[in-house]
Amino acid sequence: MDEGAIEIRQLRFGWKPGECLLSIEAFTVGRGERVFLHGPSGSGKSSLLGLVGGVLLPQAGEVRVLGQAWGELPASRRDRFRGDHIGFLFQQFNLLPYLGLLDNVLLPVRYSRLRRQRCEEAPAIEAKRLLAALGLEGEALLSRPVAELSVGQQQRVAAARALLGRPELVVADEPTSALDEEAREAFLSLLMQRCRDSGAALLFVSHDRRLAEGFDREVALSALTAAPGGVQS
Amino acid sequence: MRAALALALHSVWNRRGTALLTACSIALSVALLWGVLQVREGARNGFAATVSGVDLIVGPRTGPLNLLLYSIFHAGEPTSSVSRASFELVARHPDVAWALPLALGDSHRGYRVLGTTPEYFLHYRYGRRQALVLAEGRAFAEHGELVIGASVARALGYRPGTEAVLAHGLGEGSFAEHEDRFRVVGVLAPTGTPLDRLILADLDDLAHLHGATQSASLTAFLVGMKERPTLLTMQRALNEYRGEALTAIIPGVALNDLWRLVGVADRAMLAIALCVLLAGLIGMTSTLLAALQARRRELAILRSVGARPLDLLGLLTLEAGTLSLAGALMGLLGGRLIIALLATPLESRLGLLLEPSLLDATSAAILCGVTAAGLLAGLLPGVSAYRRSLADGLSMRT
Amino acid sequence: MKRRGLVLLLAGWMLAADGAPRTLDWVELLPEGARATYDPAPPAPLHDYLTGEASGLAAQQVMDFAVNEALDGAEVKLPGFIVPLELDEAGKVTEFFLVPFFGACIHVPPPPPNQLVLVTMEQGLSLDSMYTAYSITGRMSIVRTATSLGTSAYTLAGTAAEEYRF
Repeated sequence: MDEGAIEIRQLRFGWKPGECLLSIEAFTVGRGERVFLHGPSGSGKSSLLGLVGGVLLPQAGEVRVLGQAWGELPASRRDRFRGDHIGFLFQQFNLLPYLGLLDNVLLPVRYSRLRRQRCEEAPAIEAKRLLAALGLEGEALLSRPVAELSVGQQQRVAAARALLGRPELVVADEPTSALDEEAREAFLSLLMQRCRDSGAALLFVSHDRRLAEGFDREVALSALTAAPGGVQS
Repeated sequence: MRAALALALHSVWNRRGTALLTACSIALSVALLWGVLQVREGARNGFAATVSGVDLIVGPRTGPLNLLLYSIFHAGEPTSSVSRASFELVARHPDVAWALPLALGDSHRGYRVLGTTPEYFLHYRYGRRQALVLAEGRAFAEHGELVIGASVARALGYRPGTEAVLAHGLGEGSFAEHEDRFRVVGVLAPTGTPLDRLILADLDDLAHLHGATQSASLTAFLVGMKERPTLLTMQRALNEYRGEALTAIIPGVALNDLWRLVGVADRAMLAIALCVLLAGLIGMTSTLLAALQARRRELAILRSVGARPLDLLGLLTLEAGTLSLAGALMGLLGGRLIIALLATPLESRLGLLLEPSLLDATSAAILCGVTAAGLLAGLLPGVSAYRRSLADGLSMRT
Repeated sequence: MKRRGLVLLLAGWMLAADGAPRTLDWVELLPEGARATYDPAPPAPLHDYLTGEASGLAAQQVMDFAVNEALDGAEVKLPGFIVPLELDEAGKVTEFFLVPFFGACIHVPPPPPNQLVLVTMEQGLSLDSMYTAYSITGRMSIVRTATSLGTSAYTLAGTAAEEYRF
């Protein structure tokens, strides 16, 4: 169990051949560690998340999640592995408009047997428990069409989905940017608590450094990557 | 697999407005295709088997197909007539075995009445020289007796003993109804030809109704020669006859012409119907492709929870398949409804008997075929979704 | 040894040759004696066939339509035009006249009875156009008739049909 949640070594990544968008010597996130990654939009953070999530593969170097290098798995197994071990949270529009609230939360267990098994009780009950812990409960609310929820509510539903079935890693890409000041703080504290409860590592990416408080570690993306001139971090 | 189907159904239901339109366009093309197949089926059913063993059909000067249509298919309107005298002349000829006079023009509750002689039941053949068989009762022999076809009996619930009033003309009823009542004495066994929808009466009875003791003119008459080879000579002689302007046709020749005509028409109709179906499927494909742009977010979410690109391919293909299946079902039901509405006029105007059934191999084939075609058509947006999801990664650019 | 083998081979070949259908010319349907005066053009129309009176010379020609008895039971192949008489459910022609010229049932007088064959074909022939000539193969038979046009007629039990190109 020595492997960290994320381990990146000598990563080189670019969209076009010859282009080098990201160049990272080393980056790790330990099990259960909560890391705040500071990076402005356009700095390559989306690509980094894609690499962490195993959706993108680097031109050089390796990315390991829970000790498994993405490059060693064939494409379909990568999708499986992602579904089994990682929960994602995006900035907005996290939910499928044609599924109900609960069904949206239950999406991961559709595709991952492992997460289904990890639910102590029936997934639906577990989902409701998570939602309640995130401040969403009551039949009236749960039966509302997803489109009628406020942004804050939607984000919390997305958080429940990311956490269902106890994935070892939660990757959050600016999940609070669309929320207002008050909602932001509340959401963040709820998310942190839930991650602590389930023992999940949290990689939280944002441009707003004020949110860094409460995290185990704060890292700047610019410090991680080499400048085009080739300066080491 | 069941999960993928559930997801696809939810997705389609969410966009049910556009989905309905797409399904409708497929429904229309399926209805058209099915309708064309029914008409083709109806046109061929019992068509070539309607008459057999008749050497010549003789009528007034008219087109051969027209003469065939009203003398054998009892469709269309005879506008002139042949004299009884000409009929007698032919019937007496040493080379002629038999001759059957025909008089059309009356009807009963929408069914045509054919005036003829009792010999009709002896000599008229259909299919492969098959004689007419009476399922109930007997042929007419005395005044006021009728024999009806199997479909007439079934539709009107007539049996030997039932009374009927004949109307002049071919409408559903007539304001010039005849006084005399007729009585059904026999019901023909089903033949699968237009005979099933025919009512047969004695020629002179009908003449009597119209105020004459004996009919002086006929619509047409059928001739059977003692030896077939002589029919060509008789045909020529009749066509050249100076005593009256006559047309003598060989049923086989006229049927063959009509068959080829129908064949060309229905091949053309079939080709058009298939093109329309193709258009519907292409429309569906393009709608799905266009919607992909707006669904990039949705696809990225699915990939983030562990859906494989193949799952996305499956999702879109299933959506297309569902729309096609729904469209095909609607189309078949709609087509059935339309045919039900058109059946009567088609039958009385063209002698085209349609007995559409939704529980047959054709419907099943259309249902399966269209769904399969839809699934295939869905592969295009499916593959596109597959590729895009690989390229997009998890980027959530708005 | 070799000679016997050759004789057997020849005998076998002759037997086989006997079975192969013989391609006919329409003139062969006439009896030997009538061939010299044979006119392939359609004959003059019969006047008053209907009323039963035939006049003069025309009547003589009409009554004189004998057949070539040698063809009775022969396996033949004869090209001609089709006049359909019976169709089956699939629209194939199962009974027809085979005549030497086109239009016999339309605007041209029919051929005399010994230039006319009544063919029956179980499997039926799909007739796309009456303008096409076909070669019909089968066994020819002569039947006795009693009509005002003669006392014999040709019939053929057809087994094969193929398009004939001029």
